[in-house]
Amino acid sequence: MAVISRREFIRMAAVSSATTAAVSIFPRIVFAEWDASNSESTDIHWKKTPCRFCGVGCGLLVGLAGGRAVAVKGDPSSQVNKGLCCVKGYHSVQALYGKDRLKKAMVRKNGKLVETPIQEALDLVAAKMQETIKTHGKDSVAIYGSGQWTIPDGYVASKFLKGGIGTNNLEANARLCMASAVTGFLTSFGLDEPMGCYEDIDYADVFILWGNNMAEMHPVLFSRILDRRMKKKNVLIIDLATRTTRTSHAADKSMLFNPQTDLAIANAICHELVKNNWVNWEFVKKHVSFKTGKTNIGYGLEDDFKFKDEAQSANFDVFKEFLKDYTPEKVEKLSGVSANDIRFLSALYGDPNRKVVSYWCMGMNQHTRGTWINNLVYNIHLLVGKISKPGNGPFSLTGQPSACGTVREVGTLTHKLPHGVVMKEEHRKMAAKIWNVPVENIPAKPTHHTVSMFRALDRGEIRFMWVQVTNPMVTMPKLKRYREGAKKEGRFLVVSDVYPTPTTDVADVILPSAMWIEREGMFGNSERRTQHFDQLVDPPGDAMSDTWQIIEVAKRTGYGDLFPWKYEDHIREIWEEYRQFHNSPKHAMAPYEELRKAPGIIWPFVNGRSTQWRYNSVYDPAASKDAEFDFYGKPDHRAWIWLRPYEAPPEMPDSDYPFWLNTGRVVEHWHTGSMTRRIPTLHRAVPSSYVEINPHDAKRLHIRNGETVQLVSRRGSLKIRAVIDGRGQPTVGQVFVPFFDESLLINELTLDAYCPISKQPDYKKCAVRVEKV
Amino acid sequence: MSMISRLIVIITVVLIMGGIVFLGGEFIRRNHGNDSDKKSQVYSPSDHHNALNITLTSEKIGTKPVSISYDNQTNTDSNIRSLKKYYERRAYAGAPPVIPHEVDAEINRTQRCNTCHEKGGFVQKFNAHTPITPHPEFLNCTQCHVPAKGKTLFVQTEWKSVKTPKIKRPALPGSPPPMPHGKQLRENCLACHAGPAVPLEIRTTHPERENCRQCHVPRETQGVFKRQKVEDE
Repeated sequence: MAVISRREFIRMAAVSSATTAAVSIFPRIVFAEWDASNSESTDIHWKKTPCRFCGVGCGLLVGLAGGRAVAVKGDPSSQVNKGLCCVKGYHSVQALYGKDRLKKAMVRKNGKLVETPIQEALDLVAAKMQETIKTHGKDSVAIYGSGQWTIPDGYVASKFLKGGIGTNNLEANARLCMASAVTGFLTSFGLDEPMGCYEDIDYADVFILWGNNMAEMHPVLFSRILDRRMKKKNVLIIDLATRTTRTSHAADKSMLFNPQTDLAIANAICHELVKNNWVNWEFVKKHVSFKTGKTNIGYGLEDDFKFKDEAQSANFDVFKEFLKDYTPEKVEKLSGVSANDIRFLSALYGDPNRKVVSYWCMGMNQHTRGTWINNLVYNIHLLVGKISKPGNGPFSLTGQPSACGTVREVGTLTHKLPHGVVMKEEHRKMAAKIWNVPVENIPAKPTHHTVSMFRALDRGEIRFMWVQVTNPMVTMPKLKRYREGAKKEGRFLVVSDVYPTPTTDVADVILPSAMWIEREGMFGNSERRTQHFDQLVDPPGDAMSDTWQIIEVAKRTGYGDLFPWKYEDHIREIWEEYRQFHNSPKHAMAPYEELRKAPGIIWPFVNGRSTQWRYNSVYDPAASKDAEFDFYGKPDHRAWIWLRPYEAPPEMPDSDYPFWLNTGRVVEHWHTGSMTRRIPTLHRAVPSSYVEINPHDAKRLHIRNGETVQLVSRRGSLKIRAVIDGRGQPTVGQVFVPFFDESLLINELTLDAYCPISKQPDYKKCAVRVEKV
Repeated sequence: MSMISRLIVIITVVLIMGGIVFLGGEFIRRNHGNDSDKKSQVYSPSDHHNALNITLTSEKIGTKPVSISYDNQTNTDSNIRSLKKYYERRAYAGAPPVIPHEVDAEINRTQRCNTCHEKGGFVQKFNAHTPITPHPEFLNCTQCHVPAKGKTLFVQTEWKSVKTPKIKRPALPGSPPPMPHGKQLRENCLACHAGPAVPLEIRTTHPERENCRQCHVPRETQGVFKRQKVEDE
């Protein structure tokens, strides 16, 4: 037995008597697992903010006590989530408090990242930027941002690069997730973003989910759909997917199709609508035009790939002729969906007594024919006139909190301006006027989209890149090329982030960012809703908002005049300046004061009212009152039906690589996991990535559940744990891997082929083989 | 029929019914007492629970039958959650609890959690009563409730939350205590405050009085009423 010293004995006795005393004074007191601060539960006060994670944009109430965020509840007054959140939202505030939070700037000196005062790091970033421009020209510097940028972040980035420095080298990771949705909207309607809103759920009878595991990816909206089904008779949920998921199990019917054949299925649905004369002729005659575009359009695999689509006029007869190739029987052979199921889908869309909403997200957007499949689903809704009405409409969901608000509306893409595109003189003139810069400052030619930008970094045409709020060294397809490119001699990489990631690992300068509620900002969600949040807690150490980092560097490079605002009210000033770009009933934004008060406001916001259904003359003040609808985005005031054929993907399973590889997310983790893996509950639920294999394939290859296998593609290989009875089940001949795990980089294997129109890569389809190890 | 004979019939019926209720209650009470004495010997925690990596409370549990007295309430026959365990499964008071047990592959896909968690009941495998969900109308369960596999973290956390709500703090001696937490998604008080799966510390003494909010009201503010004159606005 150990000898206890007298002093130790007294200490122990004191502790135990104190504990006894505490227990007797406060009977039933409990000490929870979490570290309790000094605050009592009654000290909490609640403040509103949109959620930090996905594009649904749930309204949260964050509980604050003692200067810290300590709890979360759903905001019951938010029209998005009506008080419900998902597991990420409920635990979101824990993402602020990971122990390895970046609190100081780091600068690479002699190959090692060294802690540096932030002002010194900002000086270096500015000096390096100027030096690069001087030596290699304006187009050798670039900013790569994100759909997690707040609206002010994206706005100052655009003003700095396009209005100040004079380069269009501005892109954002939303190119990897939303670009096909944008080009889909632009080609079909002439204006970006959905016509409807989430309120459609409260009126619809049928929900058709196109390649969208909504139960995990947009769980709050999925719960609203389940609630609708519970409360109304004959509500149907149809899951049309390449993999069986929790969504399939919850749906009334699950239809599995072969990857890429969604193109053919959509055309087959139209074939049946026409054949059975379920076309809404009144709508089609008044509001629809028919167009054809180029075919055999390629896949963007070459560095010098160029493509420009051209619209040719067509008519209904040409469309009918085009659809002849897509009989349900022919499409059954291609897609694996039975002809009867295709007819069933068509009957649901065609039934005049059912209101139908279609939902989709990455399945349709991360697609080498992403623009086409977006067009084709619009075709279905346009043929039956089920669009822009409560409970009827196609709805493109987003993955990031401000992919819509920042990247699409502010336009942080190479060809975009806050209003319109750089190619159009009147749009450049408008920007120059609001920004108070000479119009010649803004170059008229777009430069690089995301994949092309990282290829240019690899080739050395871009020498300086500043990455904010994103983690490209996990998310770029065919990752090895772009990682090695970024590490090459003579490249300077600045990364603003909140935690160390594989991207900060290769940075020359790391700037610590203030995240989410550590600064003031706005996000814009999928349904055109802008949501403001105040600064609720202090950022740690030297951390600074991305907006202010850009302003600091702009001041140091001689563009301080563009950003004359005081720190205290710069967010309000930025908002009121930005709002001038959208000063029309087609896109009017709410004033700052209104945004601060409300739990989110849908634009167009005209005369104090939101526009829930665009193009519908009852709801939309911009629509002409002469008819029920006015698709004013197109010069002919009509929506366009596009004749888009099925075309095969660039890489399909063959004898060497017999499996499809599909990548995606799980409900617990968000994107590359840099935040969610630092949330204890989420990490413990899914601590590492895995590969889902169909039980039949596993049996054939003698792979057991939990065993490590090797996945090999033409670009790379990965050893990873096999899951055979997991929450999702790929079809025979397909495997699925979540991409959140930075130590199991599945994008080493993916292909950097993209949709030639949207330039968005396809992360859902490439060929691999599965090897036992 | 005259007024008096009607009255006699009604009184007789009431008396008979009252007698049945009394005798029935007595019968149930006696049997329950005997039964739980037996059960407390039969259902003791055994090794296979550890094999499943399911953490059950190890606190000493009494063997007395369910008593009406709040302070003397003890569990009779199963491994009951302590309030400590209850909080350990949450990141903060009010957070959705994690799933502390293994989930069958089929349930993991189909989310049929309500099969057990809607109505509750005793589960021999876990030697415990099933906690009842206060919101069975939500069916996408794993949207908020995720499994807890092990204790390890990706990186350490500096997360802190406030102390757990104090319980049994009436405003006046003997008055009904106000609710120490919000009602959101927890509208059904009895799901968490009555029944054999509920931690004793928060179990109500009077579950039969179902109209909880007649006496227990939320505490929306810490402040006191302050009058505002019309011209102040």
